[in-house]
Amino acid sequence: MSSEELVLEKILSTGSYGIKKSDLKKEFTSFDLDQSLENLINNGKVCVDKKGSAYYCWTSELYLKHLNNVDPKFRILVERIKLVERKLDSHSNSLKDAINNLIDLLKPDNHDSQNALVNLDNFKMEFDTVLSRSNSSIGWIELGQVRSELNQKFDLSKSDFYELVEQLINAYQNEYELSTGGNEGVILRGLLHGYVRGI
Amino acid sequence: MYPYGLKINPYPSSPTPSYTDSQILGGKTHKDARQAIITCISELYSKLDRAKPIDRDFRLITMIQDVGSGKTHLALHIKRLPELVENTVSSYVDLSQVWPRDIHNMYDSILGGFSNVDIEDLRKHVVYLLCDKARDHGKSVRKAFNYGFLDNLSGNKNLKHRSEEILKGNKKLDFQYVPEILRSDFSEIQIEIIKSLIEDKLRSDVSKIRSLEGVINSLSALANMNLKLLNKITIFQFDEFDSKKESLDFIKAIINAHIPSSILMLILTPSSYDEIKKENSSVFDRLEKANYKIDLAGSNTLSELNDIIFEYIRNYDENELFTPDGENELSEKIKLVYDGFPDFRNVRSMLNIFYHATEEASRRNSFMIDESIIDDTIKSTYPGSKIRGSLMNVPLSEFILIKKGANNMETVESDVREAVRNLLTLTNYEGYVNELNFDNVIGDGIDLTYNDNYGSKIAVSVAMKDEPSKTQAQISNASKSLNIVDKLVVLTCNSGRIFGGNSNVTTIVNVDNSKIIDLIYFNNKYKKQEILNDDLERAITLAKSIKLC
Repeated sequence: MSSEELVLEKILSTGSYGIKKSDLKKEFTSFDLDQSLENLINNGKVCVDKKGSAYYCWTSELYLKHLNNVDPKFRILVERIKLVERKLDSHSNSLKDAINNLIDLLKPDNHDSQNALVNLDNFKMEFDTVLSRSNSSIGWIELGQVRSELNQKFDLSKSDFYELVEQLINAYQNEYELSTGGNEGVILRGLLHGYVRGI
Repeated sequence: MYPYGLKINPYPSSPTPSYTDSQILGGKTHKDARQAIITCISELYSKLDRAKPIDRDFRLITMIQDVGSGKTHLALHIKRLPELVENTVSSYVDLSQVWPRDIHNMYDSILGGFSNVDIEDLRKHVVYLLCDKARDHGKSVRKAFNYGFLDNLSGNKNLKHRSEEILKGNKKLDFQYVPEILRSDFSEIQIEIIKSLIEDKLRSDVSKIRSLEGVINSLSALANMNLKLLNKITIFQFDEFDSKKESLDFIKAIINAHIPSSILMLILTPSSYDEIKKENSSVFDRLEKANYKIDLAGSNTLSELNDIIFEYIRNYDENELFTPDGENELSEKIKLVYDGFPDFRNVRSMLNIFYHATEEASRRNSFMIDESIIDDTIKSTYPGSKIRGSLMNVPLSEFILIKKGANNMETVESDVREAVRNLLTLTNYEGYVNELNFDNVIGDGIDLTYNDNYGSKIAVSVAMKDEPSKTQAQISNASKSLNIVDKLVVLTCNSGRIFGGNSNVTTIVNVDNSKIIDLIYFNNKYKKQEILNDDLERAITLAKSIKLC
């Protein structure tokens, strides 16, 4: 272990209380303590400051902790800096989001981004269009197929789609009917209803 | 005594229709479908060449609708229609009961699907025909009837009398002489069938059939005999028709055979129809070309269910106590169940509820079926059921009361606001949120603020104006608080909820009718200090469902 490492280890072991420079001198006599300390100070690893009438040594982290404990002005200043830091982070995130949104908007496939928003009215319109295009002679169509076709129009998750289907069926009870079966759909009476048609 | 002065409970209680229950048919859709079937039969009947029906005298009818919508009921109903009893014989087969579906089981089920009355009628006509043949085949007929010289002496006046004795089972027919008598009018297969019929072995002789072609020939022979002897068309009804290979092969053979003077009626669900499309395009193509596609579209709509429920009462209302006022009141109850419980929006479920509700009304000696009867019926018959979207398990009677008041948007807004405050007070007490603040200190449109579990400051705005523009203005005002709080939750009943978009700072919660009723019901209980443990859990769930915690 080098002389500097020995000194740093000793200083670190004293915590935020620090260690008197004179005590270090008493302990380390086999090498030039002043030279070692100067190297550590120059590297930013150690701070030396006056406490009472004596000079004390700390590692830089512990020195900040010491100041925070003994100096109210320093403490306030640190808090303010942290606040500024948080605000900067927040602005930085907002800026990042804004840039990302901008990038999204500039992407060619986002020209239809308005269409990604759907309420019951425009959902009904598109839903009815898909039903009317159904080539089944009896009018029934799988809800999974409707979802697949509407996915080209709306950016809807599966659960959002079926929430809307339920709302639609409830709001327009006389316009639609559901039937059991299929691979996905609405659960009624514990049965999967995966077929729909307009009445 | 049952409600409306009825002597019996008019509603069926079995999970699937029975012959007895199927006598009553209500609902415009179902009646229209019945008419379509009658038209099909009448049209075929009118065009038949009785002497020599040909393969063009065959019709295919499909009836496609969801489970529990009344298909089987209609199929059984038409068997008993007075206007069809005179000109049709029908065999009803529930394919779900036929397994394995080999030719013997299928044929046996078809024979079993004829009513005993029809079989007996055919038998009777055969015996009387033999009797009539005495003019041309006197000797053979007398031998077949075991009618000898001594019979005349002992008082047996004529062959007619002997025929009746045979039909009653008092005398036996000697069949060895029968083929000779009937050979000129009937085929070999038909004579075999007649033999089985007379010896009462029609179904036990099924094992003699060796191939699908044999089954088809026998069915053709039967249909021909029904026409020749009874002057009736034969209807083969197959319920629960599905996409299983055995069913498809069998039905395809029957369709291809074009059995003269017969109608094939296939009853299936839309999903089965779709599966057949995927499984066997050849059969599907034939189904697509059905002569009649009976459509029960709208069979589960409110008006249809209303009419069906009324029809049962009317049928047994001998003293005409079911008045228009009674109809109106009952109609409200039906609507209540229909709106509140989507699970019951089909004929079968609704009839089941009204069967039990009628029993309950009878127990209570009530002249009519009221809300509390329906409420108790649903609780006891369907214990897990709850009103659509309801998290607070609101009893039906309370639901009705609250719903009546929920039409006034101005009072609803203040009621919901108060409920939200109390709900948050409760969640605060339970440790889900903290630092509740009901004083509006941060701006217009904000009703309260609190901190969630993560320390984020949340503002809540209740915006339930009767006009969307007012709601929008209120939300807009509330949004100004976003520079002070971390998140804004807007509770609104505006149906224009946006899906697909995502905002990290404003959450628009669509408080639909069921949630409004839940909130008001909670609030009423909270104010009366009646929130119990179960209610507490439900209240927390309610708060979570509207994104308060």
